[in-house]
Amino acid sequence: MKRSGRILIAWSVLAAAAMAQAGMPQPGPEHKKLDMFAGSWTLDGQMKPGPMGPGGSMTETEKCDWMEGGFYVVCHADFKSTMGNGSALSLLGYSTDDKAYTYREFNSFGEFMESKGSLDGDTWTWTGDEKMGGATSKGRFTMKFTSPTSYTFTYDMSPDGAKWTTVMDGKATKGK
Amino acid sequence: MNRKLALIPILTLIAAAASAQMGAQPGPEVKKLDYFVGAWTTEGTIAQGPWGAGGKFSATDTREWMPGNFFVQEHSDYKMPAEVGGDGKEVSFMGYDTDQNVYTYDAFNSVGRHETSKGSVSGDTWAWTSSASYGGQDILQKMTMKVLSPTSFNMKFEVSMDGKTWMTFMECKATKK
Repeated sequence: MKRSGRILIAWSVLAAAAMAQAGMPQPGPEHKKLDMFAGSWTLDGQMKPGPMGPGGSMTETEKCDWMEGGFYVVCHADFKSTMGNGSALSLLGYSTDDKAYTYREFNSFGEFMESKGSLDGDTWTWTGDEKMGGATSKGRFTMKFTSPTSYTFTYDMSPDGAKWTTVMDGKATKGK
Repeated sequence: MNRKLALIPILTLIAAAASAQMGAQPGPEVKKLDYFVGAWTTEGTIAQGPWGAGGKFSATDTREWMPGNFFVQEHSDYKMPAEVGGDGKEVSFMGYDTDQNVYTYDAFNSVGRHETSKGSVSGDTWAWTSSASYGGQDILQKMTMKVLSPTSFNMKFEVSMDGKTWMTFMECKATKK
């Protein structure tokens, strides 16, 4: 009897939760700030030369649209560089649980990447772990909006989250 | 905003790792996902339960390989009773995590939910498990897909609060067009 009672209470909670779900959640003001990414973008970047490579240029074209519901911005990207070409599909969102923006990417190299982001004034900062060849390092992508149709970006990496090295920077421009 | 390009030139293990990554090919596990590629329709029933009276569920799904053939991308339009969420759309990705040796299923829907499932296949049966939070309450979820033919499979979706007692939420059948 006691166990049945617990289950009933638990399922009541689930029912209430399901009812809450049925109330159709609406995007909050944080979601709406992602609107600045919607549209067609061209990114031109320069990878920094270093001990491990000569660096070089990269270009990316990106088309971002709101998914129905207004919770996620979905971006299709094609990129080219001297290191190779590829494509990616990413989703930008906002986690109300974590109170952080989310970036999740699935790319043609078979990688899934996940970052958390924040917005401070005109600057977005995205951080996440990057896995490669069994090693994990930290990545930080910073986007500073200089106008509604352009931003500069910097990509930094760190083995420990303390010492950061800029590996790429560039500029993004929104198309008409 | 893709970071792969930034990654390549810097990491210590760069050259070797980069070429390994760039030359990576989908393994046999990934290729098994080919079963799901195509246009599918799903029809089923949501059981009566604590979530309400239940009712009909239907969905049309289009699944295709992403470039590189590592992920199957799915676009889904689904219909179900309003009391369990109503109609909506979903974008999802099926893949295989070689680090954890599990299949992965990431779904993003039009009511703002993101859920990640881990899966395995044994014979003709795919099993996916995940957890979700509803109003602060964690719910365990289990989806079992039993392949009936190259063009049809049965699906059973169960939920549990403790991982021991499971309740069937929905049963349906998917058919490839």
